[in-house]
Amino acid sequence: MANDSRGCRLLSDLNSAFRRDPEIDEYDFLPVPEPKHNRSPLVLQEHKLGIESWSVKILFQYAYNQLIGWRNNTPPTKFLDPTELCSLTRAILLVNADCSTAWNTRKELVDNGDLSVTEDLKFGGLVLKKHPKSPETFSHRKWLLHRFIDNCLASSIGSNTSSGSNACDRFVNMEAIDLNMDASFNGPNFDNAPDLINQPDYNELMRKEMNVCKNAADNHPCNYNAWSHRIWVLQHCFNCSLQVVYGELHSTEGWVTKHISDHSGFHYRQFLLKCLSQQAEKLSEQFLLNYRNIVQKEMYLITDLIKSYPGHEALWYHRRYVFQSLCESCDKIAMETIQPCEKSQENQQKKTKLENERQVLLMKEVDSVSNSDLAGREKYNQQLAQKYLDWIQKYCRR
Amino acid sequence: MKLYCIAVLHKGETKVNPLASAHELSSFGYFQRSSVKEFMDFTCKIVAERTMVGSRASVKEHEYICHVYVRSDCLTGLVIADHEYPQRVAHTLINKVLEEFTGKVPKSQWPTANQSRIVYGELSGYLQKYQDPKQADSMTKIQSELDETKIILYDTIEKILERGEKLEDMVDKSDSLGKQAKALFQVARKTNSCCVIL
Repeated sequence: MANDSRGCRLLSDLNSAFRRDPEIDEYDFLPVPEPKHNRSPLVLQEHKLGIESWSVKILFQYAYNQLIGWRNNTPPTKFLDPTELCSLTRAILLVNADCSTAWNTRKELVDNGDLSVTEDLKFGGLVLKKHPKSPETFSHRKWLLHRFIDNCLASSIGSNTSSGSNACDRFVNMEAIDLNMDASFNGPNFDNAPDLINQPDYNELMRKEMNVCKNAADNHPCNYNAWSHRIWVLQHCFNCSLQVVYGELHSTEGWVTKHISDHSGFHYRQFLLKCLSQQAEKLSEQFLLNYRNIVQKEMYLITDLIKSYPGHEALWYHRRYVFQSLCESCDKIAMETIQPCEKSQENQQKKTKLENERQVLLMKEVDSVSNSDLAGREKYNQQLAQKYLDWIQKYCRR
Repeated sequence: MKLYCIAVLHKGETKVNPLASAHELSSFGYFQRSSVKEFMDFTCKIVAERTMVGSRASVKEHEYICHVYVRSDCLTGLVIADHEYPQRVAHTLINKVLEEFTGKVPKSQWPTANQSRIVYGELSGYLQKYQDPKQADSMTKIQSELDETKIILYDTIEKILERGEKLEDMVDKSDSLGKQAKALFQVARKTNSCCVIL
């Protein structure tokens, strides 16, 4: 078939491009609907790969048919060596990042040692540049990261590393975190394992992973898949280490300030705050940081953003979460210091004082929103402010 | 929250004369940048053509907004930004740029001067500086003069076109859009996305 030989040539051109430049970091399809000359449709400039659009379908169909033929054991594609499989799956995924068959074939290649974890992570990063939301790509990355963690654990158990008890201090019980995105995997057992997080290679790879998430979030508004992958990395690769979580709170502040209508960015901060709240004691003992102060600081941040940029729903919704956290923090202190059944006068006074504190908090908030310039002059923002006040009234009654 | 383009043009009686412009294209794909730039310039021209002298507007298209002010002396300033960038700051920036440009290039030259001969280097500096709208606090004097209620809002660029005018035809007939830009427009049309206004 004419297309078959064209497809074969296109695949070979693609492979040469990657051979010529192993540092390709971006690719795109160029809007050229018809082939105009008898030249290759590939353009390679400054590590950017361009593929003329007329050739994409031909290339994809050829590569896909080859792969499926091989999987179904149909001659002549019965025997394909790992290199060919690698280049076929690469061609397929550059066009359709959600082709599970191709990703799964690559998993087999990794298992057989024909493809390294870092190489595949690098390729996935390239795919995400063009397909920043691709769920299958993120899912495959989780599998690769598991492999990487397993390899690290396996190789360090045999060597002289920090003792179990030392390592324990740095890690947190996974059960404490209920936002587990991956139900089938509960994270590596770090309790008696060596200290992975502080190994430089490990740290560097995981940092790169966070960067991949950030770039994907930059490339597509409200990229929930990218942010939830970032949460997953925090949970499974950093074990929600306080140091990392607090660092993330710090480093994403600039990002959300520049993406004020991105709900997913704020949702990530909510996850971070939740992590900190669950480890509040350790936060104050080891890092001398007060959780309540951190939440208050978040309140200042969101207030400033609402005032500067009126009319963005994401900001008001984030405010709901922050306010709720403040109230819960208040309640928690109340529960710790009051004995509910004890009828002593001292206890009753404490109870009243803390109930009053909560009331004051609510009233202050309602006052803030209705009287200050938070609602502003812009109509939509005023509507959002009103909705927020309605929500507070409902929240009070609980 | 991004600024993509600032432009200064003269809106003459029969034609619009581009005088100065700066673009921030790093957030676009490498191969799309030259086409996107052409589109931004094209958009500035047609928005300026269809905005009345002495009026301000903000023309929205997908997630981009083109802010425009045609001063009474026909000097026109435009800013292309995303939907998060505050409208007030965009218009304040336009005011500042027009004021400064007036001081640099004499009025007599506006209708006919060639853009390549005009030196207004500060423009690209402003495009970088005002990526952060908070920098605009230093423009408070100009800000207070701005009356936001007089900015006309358009939901789509089609709203500013005259009856019978079609975007596809305008793109097709344009001399200032290259082949690749026109092809990009076709693709954007099909996928219902924006090639940055238009």
